[in-house]
Amino acid sequence: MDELCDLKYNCTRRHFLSRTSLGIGSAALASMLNPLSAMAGSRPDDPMGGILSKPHFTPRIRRVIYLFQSGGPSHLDLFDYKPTLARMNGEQLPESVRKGQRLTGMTAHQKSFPLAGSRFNFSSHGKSGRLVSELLPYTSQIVDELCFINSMYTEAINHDPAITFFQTGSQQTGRPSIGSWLSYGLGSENDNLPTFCVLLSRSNDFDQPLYSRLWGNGFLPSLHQGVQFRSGKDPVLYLNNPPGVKQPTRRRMLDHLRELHQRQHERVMDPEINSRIAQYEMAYRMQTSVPVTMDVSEEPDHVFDLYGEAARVPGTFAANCLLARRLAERDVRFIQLYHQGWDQHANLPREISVLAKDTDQPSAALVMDLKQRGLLDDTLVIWGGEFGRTNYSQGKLTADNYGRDHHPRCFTIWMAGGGVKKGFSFGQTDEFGYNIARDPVHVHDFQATLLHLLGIDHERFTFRHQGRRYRLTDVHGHVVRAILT
Amino acid sequence: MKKSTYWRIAPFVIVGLALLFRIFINPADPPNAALFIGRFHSMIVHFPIGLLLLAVLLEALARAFRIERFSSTIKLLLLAGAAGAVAAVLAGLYLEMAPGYEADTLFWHKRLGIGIAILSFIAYGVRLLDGQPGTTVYRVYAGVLVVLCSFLMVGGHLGSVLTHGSGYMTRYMPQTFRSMLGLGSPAQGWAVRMAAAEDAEVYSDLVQPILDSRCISCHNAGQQRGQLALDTPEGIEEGGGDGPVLVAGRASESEIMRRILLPPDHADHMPPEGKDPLTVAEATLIRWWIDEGASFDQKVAEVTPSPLVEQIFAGLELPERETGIFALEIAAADSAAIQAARAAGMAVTSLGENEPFLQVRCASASDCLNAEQVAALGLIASQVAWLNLGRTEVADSALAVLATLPHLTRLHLESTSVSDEALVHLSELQYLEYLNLYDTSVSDSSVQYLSMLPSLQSLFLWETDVTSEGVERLQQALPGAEIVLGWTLPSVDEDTTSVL
Repeated sequence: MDELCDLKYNCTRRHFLSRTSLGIGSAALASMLNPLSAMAGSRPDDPMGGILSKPHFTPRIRRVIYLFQSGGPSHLDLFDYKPTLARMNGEQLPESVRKGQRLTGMTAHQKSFPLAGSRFNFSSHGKSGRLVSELLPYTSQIVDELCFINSMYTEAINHDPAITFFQTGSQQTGRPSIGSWLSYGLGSENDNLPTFCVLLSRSNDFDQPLYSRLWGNGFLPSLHQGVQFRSGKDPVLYLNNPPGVKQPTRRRMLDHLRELHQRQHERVMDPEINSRIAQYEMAYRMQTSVPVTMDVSEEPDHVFDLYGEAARVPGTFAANCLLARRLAERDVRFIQLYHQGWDQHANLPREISVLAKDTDQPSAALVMDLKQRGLLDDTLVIWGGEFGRTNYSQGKLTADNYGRDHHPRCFTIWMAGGGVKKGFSFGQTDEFGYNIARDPVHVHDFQATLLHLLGIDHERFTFRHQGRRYRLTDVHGHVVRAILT
Repeated sequence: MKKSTYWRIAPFVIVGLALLFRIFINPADPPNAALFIGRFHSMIVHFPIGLLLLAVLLEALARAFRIERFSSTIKLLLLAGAAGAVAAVLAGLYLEMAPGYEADTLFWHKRLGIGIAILSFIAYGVRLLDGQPGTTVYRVYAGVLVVLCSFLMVGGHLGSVLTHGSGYMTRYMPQTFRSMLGLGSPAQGWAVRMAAAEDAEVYSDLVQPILDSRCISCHNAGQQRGQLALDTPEGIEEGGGDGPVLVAGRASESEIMRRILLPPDHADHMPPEGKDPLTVAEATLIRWWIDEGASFDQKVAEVTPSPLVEQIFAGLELPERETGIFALEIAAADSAAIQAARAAGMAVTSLGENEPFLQVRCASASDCLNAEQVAALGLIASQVAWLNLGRTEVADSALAVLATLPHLTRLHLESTSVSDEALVHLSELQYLEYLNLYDTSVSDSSVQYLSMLPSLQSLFLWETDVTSEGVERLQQALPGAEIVLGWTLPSVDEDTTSVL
């Protein structure tokens, strides 16, 4: 009977029992005494917690800031120094390197695949001696705090499937995003802000779009979806009271609405109703918490020296990095930034300089700011895109101009924070920066490692949906232990 | 011809055929057919063992119960056993042509095997004489059977040693019997030592066990073949008759690696022909040890493993080492006590399924560590490992409770009004690894208390009144700790790139 009830209504045992043996009255009483326990997605015994009442093992980090560089930053011009490409500049990509691997429709028709060495100089930095491009002078200063993975690879070759793959573990849409999984599994540490916050910025207006389903909850209760924070008057849409509605009116309206919701829930037991109640309550609390969090006017000048003057301009990557720090201070568990514009099919040298300039200093500043506040120890900062870029030029290769197409076979990301080695580089690409020579790290490996740092065994963290259990890592993924401290 | 004549001729036919098979093969360059037949040795060899032992058993029964009708069966068994022994010897001689068998053991196994073949013919011959109890013929016959049996036992055992290695039978023998045989506890290979050692060392737990099992039977202080002894660090450093055995830091230039990696049939290959070459894992570990400086006291944890070494370690599935509070045996907190702490307004979560430890923070910034919460903390005092009081209005007086939380490893006090004096409550916290005092008014007078924290690894003092002088004193007292005082990123010229 219990199983049947679970299948049909996905209701909890406690709910079932209280409904059948004690009736609506006691359930209503219970929810009055402890309003939080009536919320979906939280366990009655621990309102703050997620579905995992205990992590599988001691976590190394408590929160994640994911600086997603949307569009596919060129590893060859930023992190992965390949003198062979400079030496063979203009020569054809050898078939022995490409081995017939697929290309996108954008360059598959090209008759010539001239190798394009990076126009940018690399030099080694820090005690670790990490080679970084001159495009990233600030990141270069903090390499001893970073853990580079030179050998990331993905299965997707176009933006949307590749980003969806990184965020949800599947190229097909419809699965929950990493932040939603964490909200569902680990719960919130801040009662007044969402567990999963999203901030967007862009360097130009002509780039690939991002869809809100990337921070969607998929089949998890909708309570766990990411909440986008915008720049401007209304950081979270429809959060403020409409003109003429005062705070007490709002409160009374919500109380009555909740009563109606609860009555409906007693009848049909749809957990999404609980989710809705929780969201209304969260929105109410966010009416106070969000303006406070978004108000950077009291940040001292030295903060803007650190992040750059752009941090004063709402909606920039720099401003979002500063907000990410403020959200981290408030124990938001998953802070997802997206910066759009890294898709340099043509005019790469000119355009990537703009992108690098917009993101370099704020990224480095964020890491160091978290560190000086003692937050980096239990935070993981991730910097990376959905794939890399080709070692041959898309379009014509000239003395000072080239473009690069999408390249899923290898790219570089970096991480910084608790539980990962500092001043460390893992994995290696071949001398053409085309294939991986050593220690490949698949997207599912990356996700498994991320969950591991948060104290979750990725193989045991599942959600039952449509008759089977789903995982963030699907049926794959190995924790990359070599990068862990 | 009489029937008994067949019985007499049969042995000579068998031996004759066997000789034909043996004579035309050059052992130095055996044809594949011979090596192929050789592999049947371990199968064939069981026939004569069974047949001959059965013959002896029947003989014993026949004598004990005076059963005459066994007589011809026994003759047949002895003849068949002898023929089988010849076949086994023949296959064995073929098998021996392939290298890889330990020479001393092979020497005795071979001779005992040939001995068994000869003895079984003798036994057969004597049996044909039908000697009666009390006669010399009978005594000779009985003696031959006894010797034959003992040869079968010893020879068979040596065969198993050749196939499975010398410790095969005694590996899982109860220690009582091992002691009777004069054996200590089984020698632990590097894999076992690595898994068991609390703090494994590269040389003594990985390299020396490999040398012990593969090299020192010939290269020890007593028997220094090539004037080389590999059983002690001194011997290794001294090298052998051909010079140093290794170049620290450069495995590729080290004689020991050259010898290990030569083709197995090369005259210089070590271990020499007849002994198994080192496994890839063994060779890799020795190479790694030399490349990392061939130190005799480095711990495994101190050296970066090469990818292959990492793979070797991964295969061992080593248990994760627990350190600090996680090595302690602490009972889990009472769930009622956890409920009480939650009811008092603290968020309490477990650190892991199999851990008793808890992380705790105040749910409300304004009323942090009130009397009720302090009382609740008392009930989970041994289990609190992470305590977050940061950005709260916690009162100095309430911090006395910190002294009662012995297993605290992480403590957040940032952006609070904590004073220098309150830090005296921390001085007993021997496991405290992380302490965040950012944005507080602590000053140099806190140094005396902070210096007393032996496990401290990360200390955050940005935007406090601690001076650089104070930090210096602190750093001297806590050389292993990272003391963070804030950062600036030196600004970079607008035009740093070569393009644009």
